[in-house]
Amino acid sequence: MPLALPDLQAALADHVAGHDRAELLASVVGDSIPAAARLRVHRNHVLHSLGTALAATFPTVQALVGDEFFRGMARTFAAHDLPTQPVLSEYGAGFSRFVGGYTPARGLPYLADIARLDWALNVAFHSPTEPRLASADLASIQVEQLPTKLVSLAPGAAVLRSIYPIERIWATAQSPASHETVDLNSGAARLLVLRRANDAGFVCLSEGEASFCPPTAFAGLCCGAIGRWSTFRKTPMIGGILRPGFCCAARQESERRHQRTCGTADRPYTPRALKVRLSL
Amino acid sequence: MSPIAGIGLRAPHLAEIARERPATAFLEIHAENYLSPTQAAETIERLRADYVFSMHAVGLSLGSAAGIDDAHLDRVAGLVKRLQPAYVSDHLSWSVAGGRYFNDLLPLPYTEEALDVVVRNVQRLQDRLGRQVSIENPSCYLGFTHSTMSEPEFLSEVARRSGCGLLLDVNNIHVTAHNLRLDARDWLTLSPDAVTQYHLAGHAANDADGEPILIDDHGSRVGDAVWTLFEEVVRRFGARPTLIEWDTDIPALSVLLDEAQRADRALSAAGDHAARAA
Repeated sequence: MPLALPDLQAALADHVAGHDRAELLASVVGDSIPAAARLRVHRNHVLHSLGTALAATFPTVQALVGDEFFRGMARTFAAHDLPTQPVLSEYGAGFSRFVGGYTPARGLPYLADIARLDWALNVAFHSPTEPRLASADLASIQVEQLPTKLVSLAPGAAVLRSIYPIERIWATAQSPASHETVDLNSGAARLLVLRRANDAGFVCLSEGEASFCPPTAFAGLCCGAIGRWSTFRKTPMIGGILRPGFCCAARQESERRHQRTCGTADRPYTPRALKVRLSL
Repeated sequence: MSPIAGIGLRAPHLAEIARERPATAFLEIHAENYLSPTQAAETIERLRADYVFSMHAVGLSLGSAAGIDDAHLDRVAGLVKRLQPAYVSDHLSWSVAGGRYFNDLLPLPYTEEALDVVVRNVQRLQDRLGRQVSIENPSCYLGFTHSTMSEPEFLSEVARRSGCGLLLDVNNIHVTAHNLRLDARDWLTLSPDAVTQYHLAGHAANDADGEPILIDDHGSRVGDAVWTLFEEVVRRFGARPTLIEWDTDIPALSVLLDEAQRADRALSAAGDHAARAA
């Protein structure tokens, strides 16, 4: 009895993902090329092509470990964490966690954080280019508008922290011929990743800037919660964030939404609440 | 005859094409590469002023028994709306099952059950886009014991029942015929009215348990045997928009344009032959 199409597709999907399904052998025509060898063509193609896609998304990880090691790591990951949709630039969200637990890579304790940086750069690169606030835009916001104004980080922006100097490791990996060594104990990294005009990049933040900055893309900075605009602009801890090109247009909020998200005089908002707030 | 052969627009050539604006009948893009609002997507939209576009999807999974993914269909439909491509196509294959996406064009058994599934999905796609789409014959590395139709018979029925066009990938015909021990001329029995486009690409030969198996890798110039088959195809079905595909080991843009010119010469010669025969 031949397999019904849903069962055949489920079995072939399992087989391609690396889990042998013996019942398929009876469904596939074999001749001088046995059915198992024919099935292997698809398994190899899927895992190889997903490895290629992951290499494109995690180029720094690949540069650090070499192509052969990366291929093996990516193949293992792909077999257990296949994409859920066809846009491959959106595939690999779980890769950094996987790298962190990948035993053969345990000698490179910073590798998972580099994977997080590659992923953040990828997300930023594929985010919309909404108009960014320039210096004049930031200066033009009136004090009386503050209680209902928001300044959002650019779409796709993210803050990354690492106990390792990943910005220096990343820079070293961009130059394969470089013989520079990086002291892993030379300091923690706090990076703001965001899309630029033609690519994605990052800037280093101070501890104060990083602690203020929302940790996830699309979070917003509420001016009204911070206080007077004059103070807001001069606060050193956010100087690294409110640079021209880093933020998107401030927008008027309804009073109700503003109170819900930013608090009121009786129940003041605290910056920590930004962690769960979505952008406008 | 005006050129009707186009080339695949791939990332390494994007800046050069945007700068030099080389002459080609059309540019083909993979839909799934332009669904995010990247600079490349913005460049494509600017190129619309100078080029005809063909949008070739690789992930709609028209053969999935579970149907087409709504979210992906919406994204593709949005891109079609923005780009207004002259041609839209995907494959006679499937790539999604159980919420997992396989970056491959997986084969279907050619049965009545599969035919119903494909026709239903193609109709849904065409209804969503409000236009005809073309379905491409896949490169096959295996066949199923319970298939009751040949691939050309299956394709004919998909076109007849859904009203879709057929995109004949001549390299895929060659690869499938070789790998499944079939006669490539079987595909010449299709109705000319259904054939809307042609694809041409290179392939590689691998080893499968000691036997050669052809792999549709789009990584080299079109092979001589495929050019010969292409001439037969054009004589049978007539001139159609023809794409040069190249997706791995991508060469200089001039190589793709050279292949497109060769395709145009073949299309023109076949047209002359048909005119003489008439």
